[in-house]
Amino acid sequence: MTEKVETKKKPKVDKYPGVNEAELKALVKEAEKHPGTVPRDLLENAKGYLDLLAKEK
Amino acid sequence: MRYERGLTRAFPFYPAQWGIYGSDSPLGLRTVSEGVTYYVHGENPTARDQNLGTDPNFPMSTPLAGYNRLTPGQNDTLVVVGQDTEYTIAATLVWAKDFTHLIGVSPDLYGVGQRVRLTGQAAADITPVLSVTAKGCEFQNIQVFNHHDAAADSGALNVSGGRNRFENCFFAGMGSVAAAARAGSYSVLMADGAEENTFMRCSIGLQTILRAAANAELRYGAGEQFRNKFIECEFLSWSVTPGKFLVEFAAGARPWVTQFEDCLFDNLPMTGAGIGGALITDAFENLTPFFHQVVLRGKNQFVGCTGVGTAAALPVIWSAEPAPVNTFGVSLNPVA
Repeated sequence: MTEKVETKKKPKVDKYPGVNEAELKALVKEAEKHPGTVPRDLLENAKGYLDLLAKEK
Repeated sequence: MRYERGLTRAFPFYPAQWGIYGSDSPLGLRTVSEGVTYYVHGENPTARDQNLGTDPNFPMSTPLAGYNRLTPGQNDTLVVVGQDTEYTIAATLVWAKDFTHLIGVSPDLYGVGQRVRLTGQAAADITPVLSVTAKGCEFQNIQVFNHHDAAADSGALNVSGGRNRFENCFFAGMGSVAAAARAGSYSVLMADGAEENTFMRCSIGLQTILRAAANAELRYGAGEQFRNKFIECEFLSWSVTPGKFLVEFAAGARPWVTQFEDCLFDNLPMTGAGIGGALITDAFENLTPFFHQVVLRGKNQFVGCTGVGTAAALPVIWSAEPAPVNTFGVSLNPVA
């Protein structure tokens, strides 16, 4: 019989503070769906970080 | 000597007059006797780097060509005209000629938004864009922006010269996410020899690219950088990164006294998704073991950070303002 050991799942920490891949993808998707609703700088920044994260994979 | 701002008032154009009242008359006052003014305006149809450049109707095309015409020591002035397109700087523009001046002809904007844009492009990956090694120079109404996106630290402006004055300038390093995600990147670096410079009404930093590493907008590197003043300047960032600072005195910096008068230290604590996030901890960091003073004069305001300085920075910061409280909004008198 093996003992069941419960492991606590560690919360995922973003590599770059403030840069959450899922949130940024959602932002870009939203901008494609509804052009003009996402501020320009926010969108450019999101695309930039998504590119950076993709390169690092 | 104090003179009116902006060259837009200096018409018709006479050598090195810098907009002083009376200098628009052939019999009027001129600031210097032998200084020559050269003009750069890339979008002017007559612009050629081969032009002599002393006639604003036939200007040169690039700042580098204009800089190459300047003679050090005689107060030559390079006038660069604002336009829609950026002036691409292909390799670091090293301003090494003492007593030569760079004046942008554009509105007297307070730093951010200046339309005389000297930029390093992502494809070029230069750093810094402008390096001031000379002394006794005046810089007005320019923007220095770096799009550098290689896997290396980068910045917009390095200063290793002394007794220069910067007014209405915008220095924005980390203009790409690759640069902003590196701890060693910066907007302005005060390097060894950067002594007794004055920055007035300048913007240092950027709020359109999220800073996702523990870097600093204004960094003092190792060396001697005595008695610099920042008057009515703003230090800008967009960051929720712990250990990110607006001003950092790195190990080995020896500034003795640095004055900040009526400055704004403004961090935008927002995530990449546009949601309000954690404030950065402090505006100032101090890593140098050498004695020095940071003197806060007039009314300085701290926004988007929980404290003025780290435990290492507070002992060197001197302020005439009331004791910090946090009961009236973090932008006024934040706690340490």
